[in-house]
Amino acid sequence: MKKNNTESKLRKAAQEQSDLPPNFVWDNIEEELNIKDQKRRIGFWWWGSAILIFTTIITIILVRGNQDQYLHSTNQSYPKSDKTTQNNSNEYINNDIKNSNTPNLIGTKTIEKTNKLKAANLNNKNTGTLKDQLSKVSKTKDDFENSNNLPNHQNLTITSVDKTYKENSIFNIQEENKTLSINEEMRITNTYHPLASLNINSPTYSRQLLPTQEYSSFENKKYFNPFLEYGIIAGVHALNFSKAQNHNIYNQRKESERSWYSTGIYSQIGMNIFSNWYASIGVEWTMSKSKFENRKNGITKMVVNLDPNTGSAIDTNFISGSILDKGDITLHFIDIPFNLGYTVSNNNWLYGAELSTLINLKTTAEGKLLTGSEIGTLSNGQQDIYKKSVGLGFKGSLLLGRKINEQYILQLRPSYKTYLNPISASNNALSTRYNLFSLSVGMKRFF
Amino acid sequence: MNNDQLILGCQRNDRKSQKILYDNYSRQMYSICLRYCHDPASAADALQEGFIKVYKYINSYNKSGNLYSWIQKIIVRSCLDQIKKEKSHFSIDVTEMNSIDHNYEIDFDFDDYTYNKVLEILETIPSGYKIVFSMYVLDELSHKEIAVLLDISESTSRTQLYKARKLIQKKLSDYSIVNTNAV
Repeated sequence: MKKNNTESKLRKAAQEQSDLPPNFVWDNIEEELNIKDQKRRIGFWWWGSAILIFTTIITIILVRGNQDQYLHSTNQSYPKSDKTTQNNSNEYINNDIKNSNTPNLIGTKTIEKTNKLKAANLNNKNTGTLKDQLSKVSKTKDDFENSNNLPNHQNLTITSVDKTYKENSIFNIQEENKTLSINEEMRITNTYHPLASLNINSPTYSRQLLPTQEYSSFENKKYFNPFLEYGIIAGVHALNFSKAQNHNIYNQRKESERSWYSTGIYSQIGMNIFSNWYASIGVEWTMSKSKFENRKNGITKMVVNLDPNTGSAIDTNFISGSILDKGDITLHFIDIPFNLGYTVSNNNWLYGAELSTLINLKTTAEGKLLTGSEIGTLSNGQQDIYKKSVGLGFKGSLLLGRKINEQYILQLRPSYKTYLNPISASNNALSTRYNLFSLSVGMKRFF
Repeated sequence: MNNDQLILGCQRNDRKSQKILYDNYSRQMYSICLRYCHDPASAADALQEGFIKVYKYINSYNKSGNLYSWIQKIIVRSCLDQIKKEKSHFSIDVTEMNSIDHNYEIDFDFDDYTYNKVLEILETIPSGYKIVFSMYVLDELSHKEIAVLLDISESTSRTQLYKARKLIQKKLSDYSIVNTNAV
């Protein structure tokens, strides 16, 4: 039914409509665009840094892998000896210096090669008879001493070479129906100063039989070992409010809102990158609950008097009283942490520290309002108060671990976490910062 | 600055170009927002979110298309998001009619007051009718686009439009009779 094209005319009229929007709309758009630009810039630097760190780690691993290969395939041109002496070491070094054309400093590199070789040799099960075990230990010691034969560097200038090897081993053995443990420490430190004093410290070696049962522990096994860690988090968070233009909001939230508890789970994978350093990446979910209780005066009851004859209202009274609003607010954070940690071990205990940079993937907030009259009413709109993603964060942790066996370490981790930016939405009058003090318990498994 | 330069500027995130684009289209788009949203504050919010999306997705704009229509679609979507966010009374009767006259259109003697009268009527009819009618008749969206935006079937969209047209036609006729009697 098309008679006079009413709808076309309506459409034309609709397109000709023009209403001036409020000025604040563009101001808000501009502010939002500025924030997005800032985030884009931060994101660019962040991802650039992350890629750089990742590339560096991979490069270190690859280079070290090549060095190991080189060590195994090196044609050792130096004569082997059962015991390192000052004379023969000096001879090797002097030969190196004599044959060198261009500077090529070696130091830590050689030590690592040596240690790596030891790690490979020690990576076996400590089973068998006492004789077998002793044979293995002797072989290891001999290997180390023989490794004073420096790799065949064609171009070599040595200022100093420190070769240190320490091995703490506790073997659990069965010998003639008796269970015995051998607590053994082998420390060999050789220092060469070819251009100075030419000092050499002789190896020291001690072995002690203990009547206790222990499992073996090799410090050197940590090198490059990949690991998986997972655990639970418990703690308490703190919300810090900055003074808003509207002081009432600030005072009200500061007085009425209280942190309750935080909990979460985490998981990370990583590997040792140096002797005591490790790097890892993971995922972490944290949930923080706050309570609020706000008491205010207001109309609590309305009394309507009805005419008994007609049933219509003839009088209305309002009764004032105290109104109690209480409820809770739950914040959820999903973060990707990039961790760098340092650990030292003492027998079966590990101590250390860890620094983490966090990328917040998602933040969600929900609230539950419980009032005298509206029990269980869901209070929507919390997401309008808080951001959907907070951006960058940082975490510092102390580590305390206990080796359970060759593969597993139980780890306790007191931590402090904070985000660079406030968690409150940019258009929210009250700026809110989030901090978390937590204690996590996790299991670290080496592969 | 022509449209191509304007779009290029926006794609380069140039604030000046973005402001010009906003100045060129914000008035018409705000009128659309006022038509969908219940109050000026919600309409302003929808306009704000809509323009932020326009700048975000400006790289995907196909220059061969009409820029007004492209922005309009984003703004309409933003209005619908605003309505859903506010949880206003927004419900659509999904009952479908088997036999409807697809060619049925409102027929009325159009004058200077008709458009405003139709806007008044839109505020009195069920929200589902209002939105589908606005989207199809006033904003030229297809049933397919409406179906996607409202998460309904095309058939439901057609049914809603038919019912809206019938109801608006009736109300316009009633208005006409009242006015005639008044005269």
